[in-house]
Amino acid sequence: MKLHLIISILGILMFTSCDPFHTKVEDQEPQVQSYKANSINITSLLPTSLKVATWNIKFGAGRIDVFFDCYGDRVLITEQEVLDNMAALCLKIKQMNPDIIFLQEVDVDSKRSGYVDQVQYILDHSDLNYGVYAAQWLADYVPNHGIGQMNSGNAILSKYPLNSAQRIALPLITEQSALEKYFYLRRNILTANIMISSQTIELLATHTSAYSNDGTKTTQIQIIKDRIAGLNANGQSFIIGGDFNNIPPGTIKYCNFDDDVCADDSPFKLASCEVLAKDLDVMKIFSEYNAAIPQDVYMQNQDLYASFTSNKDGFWNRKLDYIFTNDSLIDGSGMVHQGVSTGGMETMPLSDHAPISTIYLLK
Amino acid sequence: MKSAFIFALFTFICIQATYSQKEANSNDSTKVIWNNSTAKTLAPSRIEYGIFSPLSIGLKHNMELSVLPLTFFVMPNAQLKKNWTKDNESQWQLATEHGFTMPTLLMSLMATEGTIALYPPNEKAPPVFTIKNSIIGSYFYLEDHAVTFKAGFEFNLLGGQYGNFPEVELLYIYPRTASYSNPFTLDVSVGLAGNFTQKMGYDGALTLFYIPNSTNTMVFEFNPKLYYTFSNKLRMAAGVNLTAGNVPHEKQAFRALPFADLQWTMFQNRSEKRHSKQE
Repeated sequence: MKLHLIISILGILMFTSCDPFHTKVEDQEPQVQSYKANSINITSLLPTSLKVATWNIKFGAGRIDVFFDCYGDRVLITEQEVLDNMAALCLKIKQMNPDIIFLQEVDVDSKRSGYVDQVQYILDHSDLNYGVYAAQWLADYVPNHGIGQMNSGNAILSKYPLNSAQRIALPLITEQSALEKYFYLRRNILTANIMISSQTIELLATHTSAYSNDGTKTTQIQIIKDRIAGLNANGQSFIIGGDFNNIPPGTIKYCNFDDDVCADDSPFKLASCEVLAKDLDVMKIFSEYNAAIPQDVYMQNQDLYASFTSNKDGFWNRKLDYIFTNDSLIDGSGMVHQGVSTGGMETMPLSDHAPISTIYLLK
Repeated sequence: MKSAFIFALFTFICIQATYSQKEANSNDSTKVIWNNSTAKTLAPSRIEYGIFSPLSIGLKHNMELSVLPLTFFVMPNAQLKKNWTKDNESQWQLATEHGFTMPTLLMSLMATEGTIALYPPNEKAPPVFTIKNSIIGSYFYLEDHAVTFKAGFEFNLLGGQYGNFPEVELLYIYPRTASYSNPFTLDVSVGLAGNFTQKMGYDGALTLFYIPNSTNTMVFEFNPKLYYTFSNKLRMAAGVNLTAGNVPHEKQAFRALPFADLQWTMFQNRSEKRHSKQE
């Protein structure tokens, strides 16, 4: 009898500890964190347009070669290194002077980035005032490569107040083992509303899967498409920005990139040319919306709009980052800030992605 | 919700313990043969071992040697307990414990790629050689029950060589590894151990760890366990380890870790064999 009692107690304890490392973001409350700058900068109350940007900031690691880009072996970046990189990132953000910026790979409390709260840091070192953040990689301890505590995700930062923020979970990669999946990234769409001059705009930030061969990324992008199609059908203005980890349709060079130096058996090796060729059409689903870099403009000079390279000594060689809206953008305002000639400032040392900006016209 | 559940569970265990104690009072108590966390040492030649418990060997002159065999070849370790009380039947018993740990090889193995890698593969594990000394005082009452006070001091002889190698900032692990990179760690505890009946026993201590780091970390741990004794050769343990504290960067200020173990003896001395036959 007592033996059964002990076994029962043990069983109950095991059951209640089914998320011992707190990785299941969907079970956590709150799912979205709100932020405010230490000092609020005064902004125009009746603007006629908004400058919108998106940037994957690589958790403030700058161009330190980390293990997953296969150029180096670093796992943990020191607090001082992160602060130095964040200061440089903020200089670029100040120079772009966006009213709204979508950020990906922002860490707020991670061992790999010296536990720096990067959302708060950017708010306190730029002209942006408000922020919302949703984790896509959360764990008390990731026992892989000694990554340790992790809290990394998507953020939307704005000069104007953000309301009704929400985290919408996207499907997980199915081809991983249960253990790998438990500690792995949980992709999402972060949404928030902004109200300017009596116009409400829904903002959506996302970062879809990078290394999936099982069609997960396509499913994630389809869910995003369905979400914005619903908004559009209801006459709701939206702006979506993010790192879609997908190359635009019609891209000439879509595989065998010279910066992909990962070994064939590396989990970070890019998918095969066959898979990447199929993926090209995935971004077609956004063709009915206005893009910061419209498809016809992209087709005229693809190199000018590339926004990613893992080789700090090379040059941007593929476009993975996008901004779309169902409203109007100023023609020709879209820009990939590749460097001094396009953007006015060197961006290669700041992240493995270049920021993109455009100007949204308010109704 | 989880905290409420754990509170309810322990209330239940306490009620169960009280009930069992009444049961114990009505039975003839038997001699405590199994090792509990008291100042007493194992009888000479008795060897106890558990899946997750140390291998403990009773030696002459009231001494007991313990090692963790599961990790011994990657983390050499040993601990010697000496009971200094002349009268074994005395209600007050005093012992000291002295041990060492060399976890460098284990840390190197955990500094790797892939799963169960607690440390980054690009970091080289530093040499670590910790020494721990503890003093233990136990007061025995009602034949089979004891309250035990313990204070320990641990330091790394090679602490100066730790450098920037990362720490594991998790509530359960940090207090046990913090001595590698900090000047020392202290722990004090008060524990209860005993038998309710011939078959059922209990053990548990409330421990405070102090780590003199930049945040002056204090971690409280409570590890109540119940034992079910099948015989003098085999018993089962189950319990929980409740930990709370201000470990640097650890998001959870409280953790509950279930615990289960199977423990057995390998050899018995003659008097124990006689005792077993009589049973």
